[in-house]
Amino acid sequence: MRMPEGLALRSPETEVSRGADGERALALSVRGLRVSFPARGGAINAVRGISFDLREGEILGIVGESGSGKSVSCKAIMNLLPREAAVEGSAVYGDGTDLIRCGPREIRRYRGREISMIFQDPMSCLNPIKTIYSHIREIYLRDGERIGLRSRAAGQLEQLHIPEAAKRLDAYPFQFSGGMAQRVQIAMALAGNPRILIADEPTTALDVTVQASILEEIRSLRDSRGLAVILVTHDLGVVADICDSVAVMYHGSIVESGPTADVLERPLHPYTRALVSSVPVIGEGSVAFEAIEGDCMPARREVGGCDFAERCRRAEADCAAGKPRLHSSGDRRYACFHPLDPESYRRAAAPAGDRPAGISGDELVSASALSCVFESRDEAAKRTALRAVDSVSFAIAAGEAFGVIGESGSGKSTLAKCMMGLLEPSSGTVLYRGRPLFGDAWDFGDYARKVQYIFQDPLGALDPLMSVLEQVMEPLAIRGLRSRAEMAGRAELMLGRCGIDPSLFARRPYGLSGGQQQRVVIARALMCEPEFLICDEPVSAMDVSVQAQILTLLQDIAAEAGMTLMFISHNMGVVKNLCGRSAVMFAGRIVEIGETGSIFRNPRHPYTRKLISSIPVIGSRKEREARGEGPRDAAMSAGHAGPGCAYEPRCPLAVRECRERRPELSAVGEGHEVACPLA
Amino acid sequence: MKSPAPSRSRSSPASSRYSYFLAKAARACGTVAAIVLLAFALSHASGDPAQVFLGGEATPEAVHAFREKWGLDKPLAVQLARYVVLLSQGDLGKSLYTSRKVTEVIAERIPATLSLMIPVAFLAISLGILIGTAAAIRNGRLSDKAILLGSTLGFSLPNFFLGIVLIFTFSVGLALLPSSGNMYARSFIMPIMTLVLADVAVFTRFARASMIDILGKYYILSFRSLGVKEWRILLFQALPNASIALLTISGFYIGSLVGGAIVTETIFAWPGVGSLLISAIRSRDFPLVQGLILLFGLSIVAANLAVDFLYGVIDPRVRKGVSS
Amino acid sequence: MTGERRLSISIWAAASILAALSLASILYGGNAHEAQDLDARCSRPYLIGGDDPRYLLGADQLGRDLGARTLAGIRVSYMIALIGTAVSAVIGTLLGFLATRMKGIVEEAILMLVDIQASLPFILVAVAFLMIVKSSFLVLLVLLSLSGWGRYARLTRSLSDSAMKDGYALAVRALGASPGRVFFRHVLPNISSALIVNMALQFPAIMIAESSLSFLGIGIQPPLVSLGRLLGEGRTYLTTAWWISVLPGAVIFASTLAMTVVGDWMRDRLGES
Repeated sequence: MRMPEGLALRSPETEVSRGADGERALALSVRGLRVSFPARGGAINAVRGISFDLREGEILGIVGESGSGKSVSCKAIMNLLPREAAVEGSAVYGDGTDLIRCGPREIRRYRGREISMIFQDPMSCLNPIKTIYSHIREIYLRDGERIGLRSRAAGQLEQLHIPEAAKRLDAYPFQFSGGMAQRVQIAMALAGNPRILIADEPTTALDVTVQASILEEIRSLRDSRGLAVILVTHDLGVVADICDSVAVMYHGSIVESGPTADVLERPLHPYTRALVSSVPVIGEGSVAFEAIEGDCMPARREVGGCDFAERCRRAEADCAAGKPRLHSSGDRRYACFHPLDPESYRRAAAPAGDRPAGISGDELVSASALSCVFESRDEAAKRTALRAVDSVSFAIAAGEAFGVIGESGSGKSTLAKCMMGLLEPSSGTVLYRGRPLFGDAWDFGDYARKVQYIFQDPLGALDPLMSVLEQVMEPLAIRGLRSRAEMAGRAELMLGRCGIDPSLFARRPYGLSGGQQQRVVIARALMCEPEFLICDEPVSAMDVSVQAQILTLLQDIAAEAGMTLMFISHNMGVVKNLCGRSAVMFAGRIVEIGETGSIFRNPRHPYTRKLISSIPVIGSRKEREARGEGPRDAAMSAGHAGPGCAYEPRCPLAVRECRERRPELSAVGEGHEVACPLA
Repeated sequence: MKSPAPSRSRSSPASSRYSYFLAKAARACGTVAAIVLLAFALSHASGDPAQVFLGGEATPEAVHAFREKWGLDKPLAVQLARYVVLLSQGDLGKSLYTSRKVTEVIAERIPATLSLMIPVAFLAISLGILIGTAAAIRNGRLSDKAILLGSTLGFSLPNFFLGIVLIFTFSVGLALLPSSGNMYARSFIMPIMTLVLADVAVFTRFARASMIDILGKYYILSFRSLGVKEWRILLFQALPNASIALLTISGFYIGSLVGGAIVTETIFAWPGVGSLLISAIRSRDFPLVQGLILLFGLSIVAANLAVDFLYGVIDPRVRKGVSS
Repeated sequence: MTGERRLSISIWAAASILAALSLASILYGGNAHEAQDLDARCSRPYLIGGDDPRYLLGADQLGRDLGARTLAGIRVSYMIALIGTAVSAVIGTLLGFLATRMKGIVEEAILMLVDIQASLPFILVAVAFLMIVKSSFLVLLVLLSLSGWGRYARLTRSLSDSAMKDGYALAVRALGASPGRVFFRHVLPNISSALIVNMALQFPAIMIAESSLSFLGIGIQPPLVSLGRLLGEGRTYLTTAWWISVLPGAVIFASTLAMTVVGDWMRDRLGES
């Protein structure tokens, strides 16, 4: 076994990491944490012996995908797992108490007062029938306080940048946005002034711009109070943004840990490197995806050797023989028989030049003045119109990959449904090969043969009862094909092309992983041999390491078949790598459109700028303000009713005209248009 | 082929503060209309309403007067209108059997029924919540399984069978409790038990399922993780949500309470409106039957409406009008 | 796992009880339940100390063999419950699908009907009906079928709606499938498990409803025999011959209990997958 120079073997259990700030006191010390759940057919080992230290004022990131055990570990520390869970190991708090060995009465003394936890989906963490004040008050009562509660609560909300805090106290959770709900959670968690905060995927359910402000919030809390934070996430960008150190988990164990910049820029473990490579990066040039094969190993599977070996490009014979132990080198730890040479890691550069825009030049599909207006009644029973899509115009050329970037409420999904012919617009037209949709001469069945749609939730798009093969055969059956043998043969071929192993053909959708499900959906759509493929957030619901696989698949297939793609996502890095031309949507309108590279190099619209600056990027740390949001976060403003610009309320450049007149798209460069007179 | 999904960009009107209450009121009106129509149809379907209402021995003058009042020679629509007017004036006719006004006959029997239904409802709901919550907290353990078994048994036991068995045991066998009438305080015991058992079982099952669902929610975990005492979480966070859910089945429960009362009063010869209905049917006392059906129907609709309104007021999501 | 094993035992017990009773009632032919023997009036069941071995389970007030009458009663009661369940399921599912497919005023009308049907207790409507129409097997069947369809309609509608709006039904439509194909090949198989669970849980409700009416004397009329009717007939003889009521009542209880247990088990099983 070849060992890079300078590294030495140490026993994992007694290892204590010491960083440059080794003098800071230990807030939490976890040793040998194991969690298993009883199940039919043997126990499930969710966490397989992890150890780490958390110092005061440190933000530690724990990164992992599905099956990694990261959330379970945190719940185990706080003693929040169900009774059946078997927990071993120790989690020693700063005062010497082992939190895991604590009885229920003792652990309650620590919860909320010494160590707090916030969870992933902030809306579901609030009781829907109780006011915000009632939530916070419950925490004060816990600490035996009785007077001045309202003003204290208002003060706390103000500190977290919630405007009009006193009024908001009487609001109910459903009247809040995701970002505000998360701030309320943070307020509740910090009311008892704990020393440690565990944040379990705190921003995963939030828009990018909101995520940025919440992360800033956490960072400023650390700066002002010396709070120690464990931040659990699957998003490497988040880690790169605010974490001082990071531990990477795979299949219940820590495979690598160390200072953030070090680990991400010079990874030692192949999994870390693969994770970093699967994340599209927005930087100076673009870098290619490097997808790793296979899916994340689920917690219930057991293998003899290294857990990652089956997906690892560097695996050798000894990797299957036994499990690698955790080695140390300075403040870095890693568990690998053949670690990478840190100095030799370079990401492959993308193929030269940006992806060419407009391949064949013939227009395939276009929208002009497209609007989708939903009528409803607001709280006072007044009729309001929700302009989900507001007079949108663009054109896509045959063979082109066109991106649509937007956050929630931008109207991108509604637009997609219109283009697919699933939703009739209120006004405006969609032309396909020159013929309008929804006209008298238009036949949906015909259209569906040429245009197909990939949904965000693959499991929801598949019939729960039918086998994978049957589902892919379905388009052929619909066309009237009779021979089962022929249908099955063609379906099998397509499934193979999309990377589905034959052993899965007879399975039902819920027996497949998210990535596999989406492959089935893609295969099914391709059976129609479409000319135009609309992808609505096709990879958002998947593990990061799997996303790259699906994106690569789409890329290859589109190139092979000369298919035109319309790719909708909130993830700009993905769009940048895939699409030659893109449009940025806000509140149902296109605010910027043009060559993707040009938009990213030189964003002109204030919203585009804010969007790009919100994206956490590996390799550089952004400075941003922890500004709060209003009742609706930046992105959730679908249905802007006024005559002027939809972004005006939040725009730093806004002048009075912006409120009066709606800006139109005008050119600022070659093929690059912006809807802002001040850009 | 047309587009498959909803064709126009028009989503269903999002609920405003008022649309919920309007919808429920509309439903109540619709149901009332259906009931009145039913009663009207009944009075005509059994033959000549005059004969049906006045009986065989009516004098020709009485028959003639009746025909005038009801406008039986006029077109049906006019008859319906007159019928509705008569009803709203409280004129339900006279009982064939006793020749007393129907409204009087019914009114004097209502207290007996209420004296049964109110304690039953109270006991069933409160016991159901208590036992159901206890089972939910101990979900998966032996006590939970026992409670589940017990509530399944109670749920499946037909109330008329239970009544018979109780009478057999306590009146015939042990001679402890009276098997009929409501003269003594202890007369209440068996009828109440008969009704309560099945109802407690229903509420227990529902409360248990509801609590299990609520206790699995993230906000409960969140409060727990912040060190809030368990009893406070149960009482102030979980129970309010369960109570709201319970309201949704209370409307249906009122209907089943009425049905149960009819059977139970008959078994125990309880002098309430339920047994009155059965004896009226037996003696083909049509005006009385019609009056009772109207009474039952309308009070059920009123109770349902009250429950719906209460729900709309208590649940803040409805109260404030959530717009999608 | 003791808990699980106990559960499967009760399922087997429940299923076998139902099967045994059904089988017995089917196999039983002949008219023994009508043969009167006034000398043997109210004979005590042989099994608990009676004299006459011909009357294993006793005789009723007219000397008829109670065991035979009970079997005949099972036949009628089960048949009504089964057919009533099936018919209301079919009606409800069709109406529910109609509501999903047609939208607009048809949907509103159907929903209002469902609401009305849900808020009026069955006994009330049945009583009103039976005032005008003479009670018979067919009439009862119609009444019972009409009492249950609401839940199926609501279930079908909400499940189909969510499938059509955002789920697999929409996806298959996007492939170009006709609405008929979508419903019969995709939606129906998926909602059938929920419908079947509902049927299992409706069966006891319908059985109790019929029994209540027969008990009160306005349900099944002679010469037909139903368990509820037997119970009602035996009420006056409670002091002298309690078995006339208790035996049929126990059979009703056992049947409803068994079916509820099976229904609960099905709901848990099908809910998991």
